[in-house]
Parts: sequence; structure tokens; C-alpha cells
Amino acid sequence: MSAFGLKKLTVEYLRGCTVPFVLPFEKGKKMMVVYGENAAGKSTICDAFEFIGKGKVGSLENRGLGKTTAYWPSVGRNASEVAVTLENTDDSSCRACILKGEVVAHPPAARPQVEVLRRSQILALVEAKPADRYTAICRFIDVSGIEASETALRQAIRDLAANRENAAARVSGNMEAITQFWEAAGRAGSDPMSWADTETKRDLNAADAEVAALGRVQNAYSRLIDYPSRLTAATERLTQATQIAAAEERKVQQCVQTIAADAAEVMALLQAGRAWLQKHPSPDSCPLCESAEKVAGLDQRLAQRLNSFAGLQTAQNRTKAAAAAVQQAEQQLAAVQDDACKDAQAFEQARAAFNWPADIPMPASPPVDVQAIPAWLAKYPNLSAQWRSAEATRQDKKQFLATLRQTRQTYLDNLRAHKELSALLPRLEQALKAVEEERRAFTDSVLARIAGEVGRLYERVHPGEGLNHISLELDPKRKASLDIGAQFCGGKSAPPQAYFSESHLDTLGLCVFLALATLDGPENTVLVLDDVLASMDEPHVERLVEVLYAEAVKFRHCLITTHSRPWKDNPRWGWLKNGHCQFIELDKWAAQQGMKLKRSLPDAEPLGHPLPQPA
Amino acid sequence: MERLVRENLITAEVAKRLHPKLAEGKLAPEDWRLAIELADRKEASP
Repeated sequence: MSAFGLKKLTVEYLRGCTVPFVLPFEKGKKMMVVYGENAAGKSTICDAFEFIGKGKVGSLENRGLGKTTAYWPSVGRNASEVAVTLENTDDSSCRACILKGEVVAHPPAARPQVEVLRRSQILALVEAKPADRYTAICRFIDVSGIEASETALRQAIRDLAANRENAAARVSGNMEAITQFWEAAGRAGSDPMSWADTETKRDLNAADAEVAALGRVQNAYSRLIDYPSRLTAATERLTQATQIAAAEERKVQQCVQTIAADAAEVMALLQAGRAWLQKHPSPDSCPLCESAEKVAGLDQRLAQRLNSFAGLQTAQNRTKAAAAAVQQAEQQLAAVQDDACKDAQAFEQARAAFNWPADIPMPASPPVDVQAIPAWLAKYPNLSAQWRSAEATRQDKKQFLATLRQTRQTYLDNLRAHKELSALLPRLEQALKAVEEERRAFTDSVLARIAGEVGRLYERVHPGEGLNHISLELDPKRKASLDIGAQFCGGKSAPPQAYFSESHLDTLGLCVFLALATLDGPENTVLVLDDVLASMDEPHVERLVEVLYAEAVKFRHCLITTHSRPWKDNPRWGWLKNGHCQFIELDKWAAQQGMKLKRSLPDAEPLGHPLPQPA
Repeated sequence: MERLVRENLITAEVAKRLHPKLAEGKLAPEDWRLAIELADRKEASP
């Protein structure tokens, strides 16, 4: 929906406005020509539109002033007094003023969209560096989001290509490993993979029962091989105990022989004699036989005879202990025999519980008699080593099978990943191609539309001069770089500034500006052209006025300032036959009165006011 | 996006979901991969 028409622009203390200035707009007219001699205030009106629309004053830029804010207020005024108010035909309005060095519009939503082209800027787009030209135009061809998404797509393609390469390398490595396994296994089957397929179908735990049974046999066997030494030890212990018992018995017999009959009475007599001798240590005669013949050493002899009785007792005790030891040794030997019988049965049970393959040697049933076990063991030497070897072979095979299975699975996974990536990559590349083409097509179409519009406008100002083949092209070798070209005398496209005259370049610059402004919501845009046609001769100016007049209807409003005399006379001469142009003439500027309108309404219009209106 | 759907590179549903991200430049490499994989899977099992 287009914005409402303009009703009135009020400028307060901005630049040349030393007193408030009101610019009225005629209802129904979309174009205004502001004529005035130099320094009448034309540019201040343009500044006012730029102030309210863009928050800046462009006429002061690029003059070496640095920050120009200090020069915005009229002489003797300060920034807080500067204001521009634009009233619309629907009685809405927007007022802009300076707050803390910034231009603030209120209400912000009512801020008008303004495009200003000044004389000093007219060649900016034509003569600009390609990058600056791109910057000026990029908002119409802004595909940065698409480009970022394209970059992500390219990254996805790079990632996938790298992944595919890695998968291919892994597939090759896995195949090499499987081939090595195949060769180690004797190159069975037609090729490594079919062999691996067959091998990995085998039951990984097939030998587990065999290994467990072999473990049980080994346990039982390890107990049996102890029996020869256990039997020898038990037998030796019994022999030794028997010998000790016989020796002790002989000692008892000797003691008995040295002791007289009636030993108890004799011992009592001897003990009484010793007691008497304690009281009479040096008797003259024996107290029992009264003989003095053997009285010397009597006490010692009594003591010896008493000792011989004690030795008998000790010998008897040791004989009993030796007999007990013999009994214990006999029991131990019997226990060894019992254990051997049980362990032989256990071994037989473990041995008979499994159908042993040829590479696992098995002895005949073991004897239950422990005495026969050493001979049985001697008959089958190295059984343990053979069994350990058989067990290790089975464990190795299991491990080999597990490794082969894992390698084959990894190979298949990598092969599948490689196939998937190989299928996916072309699709991603196709997507990238589509996105790139669509983006380029969009950009090219926008640029072609702009270039076409520039050419159309240019041809209307310079008809038949053959300079209308304008082109705008993005430089494919540089990012954000836009070239402008034009055909001259049917030759190849070249930069227009190389061959065009100054006035032709001015027209081209204006046409580029108009074409861009037309793209960006013209129905909401107030177009301001500040003294842009100074270099043109009269016939071209006439045609340009017609062009601007025709184009102005597309915009919310079009305001043109000029000091060129023909522009003042054109409305009178009837060039603008459709009557949609409002002509404004500014009087000479003076500091006390500021800017002042000399003429704003058609000459005939004031005459009509006194006449009565028809009923 | 219309062309990508037309060329069976992505599904219409995914295109609808991805369109705002595409314009804002917020599509990640993984988004592209998943979108095209999904279309492949759909094509494989209609």
C-alpha cells in the first residue's frame, strides 16, 4: 500500500532556515520543481528531507569538515532548536529533532523513506570502484544468507569427500588384513573374502566344551601324578615307625632283666635306706645287716638301684608311643590307598565323559590300586604338555576366529559407508549446483532488471544514440565486486567513463539512481534530486524533464531543485502537459528573513480564489 | 528449494522446514547431509 501524499514540510533552524520555513505541497501533484538562484536555500530543503528520512545532512559530507553535526543548526541557533516536520494528506505527521547528537524521529514508524541524489554524488555509482558499486547495490541482490548456506553445503561436500577417502583407505586396509589371515590359514577356498565368509559362520564357542572337559581331565590327572611320591612317603613313615617300636621293645626287655623280683618291696626298702642315710650320712655299719664291710658308698649304690626302676618306666612309655606311631603310619598308608582309588575313579569319569579328537591323547583307564599307579603313569609320559598344547591351539583358533570376524565386519561396515558416501556425494554436488545456479540466476535477473531499467531511462533521454546497452555484472573472480559496462558505437562493452561525455555520464548516473530507487518500494519513497542536471544542454534537459515527469508517478513524491532558467520557464511553456508538476520559486535568502517562497501556486490559481464556487 | 524438491534432492517437508534457515544462512553442513539422506531414504522406500 502506498504512503499518503505530502501536505507540508516545516523546517526550523536547519542550515539556511534562520526562521521557520514552510513548504506546502499541492494536493494531487507528485512532482515538485524548486527553482532558485544560488544560495536561495534549495539544498536546505533537500537537507531537511534527508534529515527527517535518513538522520543526516549529506550536503556537508566530503567537504573536509569531519563530524558535521555542529554545522547543522542555523547560525546563532543550537542543535536542540533544529526540527523538521513532515505532514501528510491524512493529517498524520512525523517530526525529527536532535537528541544527544542523534536525529530522532517521532513517531519512528512514520519516518518517511527518502532517497537523495546530489550533484556531487551523481557520478558516484558510475565512477566508483567495483567494490563500492557493489556496496551501493548489494541490498538489491543480497544473497549473503544463501551464500552462507552454500558455503555450508560446500563444507558438507568436502567433509563427505574426506570421509569417503578415509572409508576407501580403511576398506583397503581391512581387505589386506583378511588376505593375510587367509594366507596364514593356507589359502583355503577360492579367494580371501569367500574363505572369510565361510570361516566367520563357524561357531566361535564350538571348542569351549572340549576345552572345559580337557580342564577337568587335567585336574584329575594332576592329582594322580602325586600318588607315587605320596605312597613312597607313607610307606617309609610306616617302616620307620615299625623299626622304632621294635627298638623300644628291646630296651624294655633289657630293663626288666636288670631288675629283681619283688621289685616293689625292694624299692620301698631302698627308699627307706636312703631316708635313713639322709639322717646318718656316715654310718659305721649297714643298719639292716649291721655289717661294716660295704658301708662305704652305700648311699650311691642305693641311688643307682632306685634309678634302674625309673628307666624301666620310661622305656615302657616310649614303647607305647612307638606302637601308636606305627598304627598312625598304617592308617595314613591306608588313606593314601583310599584317595588313590577315588581319584582314579574321578579321572576315569572325566576321561570317559567326552569323545576326544585325535589330537588330544588319552590314556587307558587308571588302576584303582595305588601300587599300580606309578607304572600306569610311566606308560603315558608328556600327557600334560600335550594337553596344554591342545588347549592353547583351541584358544588360539578361537581368538583367530574372533579377530577374523571383527575384521570382516569392519570391512563390511567400511564398504557400506563407502558405498553410501559414493551415492550421497553426487547428490550433494547436484544440490550445490542447483543452489549456485539459482542464486546466480536471481542475482543476474536483478542486475539485468536494473541494467534494463537504466538502459530504458537512458534511451529516453538520449534516443537513437546507441548508448543504451548498459550491463551490470558481478565479477566472478572477486567477491562483492560489480562492473558496469556500456556499448559505444557497436563496439565491445567498456566502462562508460572511458567514452561517454560528462553530460552522458551525468545522465547515466541519474538513470542508475532512478533505477535503483524504483526497485526499493518507490510508492513509499520521496525522491529528492538536488541540482543534478547542470551539465545538460537544453534538448536533453527537456527530454529528461519528460522522463522524470513520467517516472515521478511511481514514487510517493519527487522533488527536483535547480537554478537552471529553462526549468523555471518549462511549466509556463506547457512542456509538462499533464499538469502534475508543482512549481516553487525561492526568493533571495537573507539572514533576517531566512528562506522565503516567491511563488508556490500556479499563476492562474490565485485568480480563481475570489470567484464564487459553483453550487 | 523448489528446484531441489523438483530434482528429488530433498523432500517437500524438509524444504519447508529448511527454507528460513537457507535464507538466513543458518544451514549447517550436517543439515544438508541429513536433508539429502532423508530424501534418498524416502526414494528408496516409497
